[in-house]
Amino acid sequence: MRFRMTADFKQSTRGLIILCLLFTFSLSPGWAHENDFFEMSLEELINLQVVSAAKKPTSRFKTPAAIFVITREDIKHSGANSIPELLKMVPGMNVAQLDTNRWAISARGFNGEFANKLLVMIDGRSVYTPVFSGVYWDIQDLILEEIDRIEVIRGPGAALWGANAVNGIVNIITRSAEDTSGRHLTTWIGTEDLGGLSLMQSVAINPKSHLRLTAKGFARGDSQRDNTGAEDDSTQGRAGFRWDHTGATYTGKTTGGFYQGQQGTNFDRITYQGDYHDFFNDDTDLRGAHLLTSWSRKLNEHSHQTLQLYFDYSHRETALYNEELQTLDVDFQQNYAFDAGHQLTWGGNLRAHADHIETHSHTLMDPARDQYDLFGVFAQADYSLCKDLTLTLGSKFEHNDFTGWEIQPNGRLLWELSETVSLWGAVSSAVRTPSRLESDGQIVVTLLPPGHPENPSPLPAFVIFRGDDAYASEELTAYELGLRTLLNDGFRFDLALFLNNYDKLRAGQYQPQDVINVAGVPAYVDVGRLAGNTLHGETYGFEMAVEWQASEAWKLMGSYSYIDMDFDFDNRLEEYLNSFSAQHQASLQSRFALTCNIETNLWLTYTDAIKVQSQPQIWDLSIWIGWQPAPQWQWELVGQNLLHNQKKQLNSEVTSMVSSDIERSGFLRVNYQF
Amino acid sequence: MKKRIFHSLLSLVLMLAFPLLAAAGEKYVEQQLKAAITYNIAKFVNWPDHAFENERSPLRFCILGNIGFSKELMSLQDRLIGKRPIIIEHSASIADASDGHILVIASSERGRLDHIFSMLQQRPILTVSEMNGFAEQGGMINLVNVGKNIRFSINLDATAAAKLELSSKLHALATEIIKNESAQGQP
Repeated sequence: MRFRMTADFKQSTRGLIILCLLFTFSLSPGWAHENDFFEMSLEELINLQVVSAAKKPTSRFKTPAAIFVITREDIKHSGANSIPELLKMVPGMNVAQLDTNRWAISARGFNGEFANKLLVMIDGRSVYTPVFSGVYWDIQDLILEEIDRIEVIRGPGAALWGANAVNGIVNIITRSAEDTSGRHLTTWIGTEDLGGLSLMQSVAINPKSHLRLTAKGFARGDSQRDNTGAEDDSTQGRAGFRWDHTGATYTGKTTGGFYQGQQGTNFDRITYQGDYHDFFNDDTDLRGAHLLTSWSRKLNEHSHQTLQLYFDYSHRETALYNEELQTLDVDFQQNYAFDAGHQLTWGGNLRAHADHIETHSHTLMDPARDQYDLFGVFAQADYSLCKDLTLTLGSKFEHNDFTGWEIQPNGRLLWELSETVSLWGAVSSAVRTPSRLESDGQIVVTLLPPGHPENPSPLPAFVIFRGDDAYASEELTAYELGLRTLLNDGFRFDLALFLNNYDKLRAGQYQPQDVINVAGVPAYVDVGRLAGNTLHGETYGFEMAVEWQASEAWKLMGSYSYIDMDFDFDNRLEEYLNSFSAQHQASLQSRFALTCNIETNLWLTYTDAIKVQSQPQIWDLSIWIGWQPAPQWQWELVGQNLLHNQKKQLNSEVTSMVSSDIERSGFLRVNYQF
Repeated sequence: MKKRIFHSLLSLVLMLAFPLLAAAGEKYVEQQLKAAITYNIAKFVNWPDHAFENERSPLRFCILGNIGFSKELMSLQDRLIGKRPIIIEHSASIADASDGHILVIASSERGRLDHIFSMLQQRPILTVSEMNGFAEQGGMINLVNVGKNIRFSINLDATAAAKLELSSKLHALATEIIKNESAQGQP
């Protein structure tokens, strides 16, 4: 036992050793680099404090939460060609690719294709679906050049953002139309990212109003399954706009977009006959649209109001079910900034959903159509206790049609020890409200063949998850501590510790087993699991990130995260479904400018084994080479998943949804500004 | 056992973190901020059409005198603003700067400011400086230190005379706007 612990420990500290080396080097002075500032907006720059500006604006340095910001500089150097790939650089994020199009993304554990504890917003619009409580990553796309930044907060943010911001929030923020003047054309060709084209054009309507039009289309090649093509290739097209108006009193943004796509998906229509599998491939069709408008009014020098309205429509046709969802949302917010650094923010929101779920196979939804609402108010006060100490207290009071009122308070304390060191702590609570599936649906989770330890009968057993009206919200109380420091202009260090205490987590309560006869002969056992809230336990761990500008031409960015869980699982299936996250994760990026117009990035990632899936650990590497022969032109050569010919990253929690092996890939991308 | 691993890792991390706390130093990045703000302001200025040969001709930054952030400004060379590549030059005299679009004036030129403005007449050249009271004396963009921040004030009389159009964004972000020879405070 002792030996095993030592071995475990050695393995677990591999990531740390790299970081220790960084720390040793860090004692030599760093040099500042101006590139980061040139990528920032004027608003950010004027709010930046001269002393504490290694990279982040002061506001981020002062955020009492585990925040990580993916900047334009990070996007440019990452070689990523989609939003999920970018999220891999965030410490503590669990990101796994299931096939060419599907992703499993979560923060601080509980990952899975249907991961339900991460809230995702694009310009203030929630893209979290209440039908299964999660995010369809295959339709969350933008032109990368359009993105200003992606703010990722690990830990609860429910006091501001409302229910389902349990383990984290991803806020994708696009650039104002005024910031992207001219025309940008990007095109790529490659082995997996077969090809694509995006075009973005901004025009000034008048000095106060600017409009951006965008269009993008791409084709992706298939991954591998059993050493042949998995036929999960896809095509997708989208068009959108953003209109910005900056007036003396009113400031507004309006965005809209439309997308349509088609992709192959592999299913397993598990059956009681033969070898219990029935693999097949079918097209999944996607389309959707949204319109959002948000207006701020400056009341006086200390106060402003914001009103936001959006409509979102999405439609997905798959072999197992068709899902149509319409969302209408109204948000109101008001800020007051008092003297002496106090601030008050309060607001309210109303959201209405209407869905239509047509089930074909291995799923059921009754009623097929439903309409449900959500409304709430929140208030948050930032109170400056003394010069260096700021207390934030706030709560959200939210009503939903499934569980009624939910109260989600938080308290945060920020202590600025000096201009370059800050400590923060937080105690917060958040809930994950039931999805339509958990309330009204059914889904076949898996099939246990006879002889399986969990199936004592001589017949195959279908495990079917059944929703229940009485299913309640999952609850989290989180305790967090963090440290941020800027050793000098070139060195930044960020550490966050967390202890998450979960209660009423989803579990399946045993229902009486039925033997189902087919043609008069017993064929299989129906093992029903009724949605219940019996699971509770803790997760704990930490995430750290370092950023070091080693010289004017060389920058290193590293992160390491550790998570463990303390749960008493009732059965193996329960343990399986809740343990899809790697205990150790690490990422190291080395950005080096070879000459004044050739830059490179080597990006090494490590994901620990996922034991319940017998998924081995994965080391992987991507390489980006960027060449800017003229100001208007940029050529990029990217290699991804370079350490393996092909590798499976994760299985879905639902046996019917089949994962495939992700292949080594490369693409050439050209950007032209004119 | 799992918790022991966690605690060992944690103590290791904290041991690493404490020297950092002790050593945390301060270093100023003022010059880089000033260069980045100048670049960003330039994005929100409209020059009259006759200031350029065509829609792709470069945007010329001229530096007059020894400014603190000239090295940082030089690294803007070849970046694009809209369709225009940036060119950065040091001007030996004000006459050299007459074909530029942005003139960054060093604080040391304070005594010759009247001469500079009279030489520029009302050419469409955006004047920028960090010298105290630059905007009051007829300069267009004045970079100012406000507490620990770098802010800017603008003189709309001067920009209007030069036929330069400033985006409303600059109006909103300026700490002070001078218009019709009177200063208006802004939050």
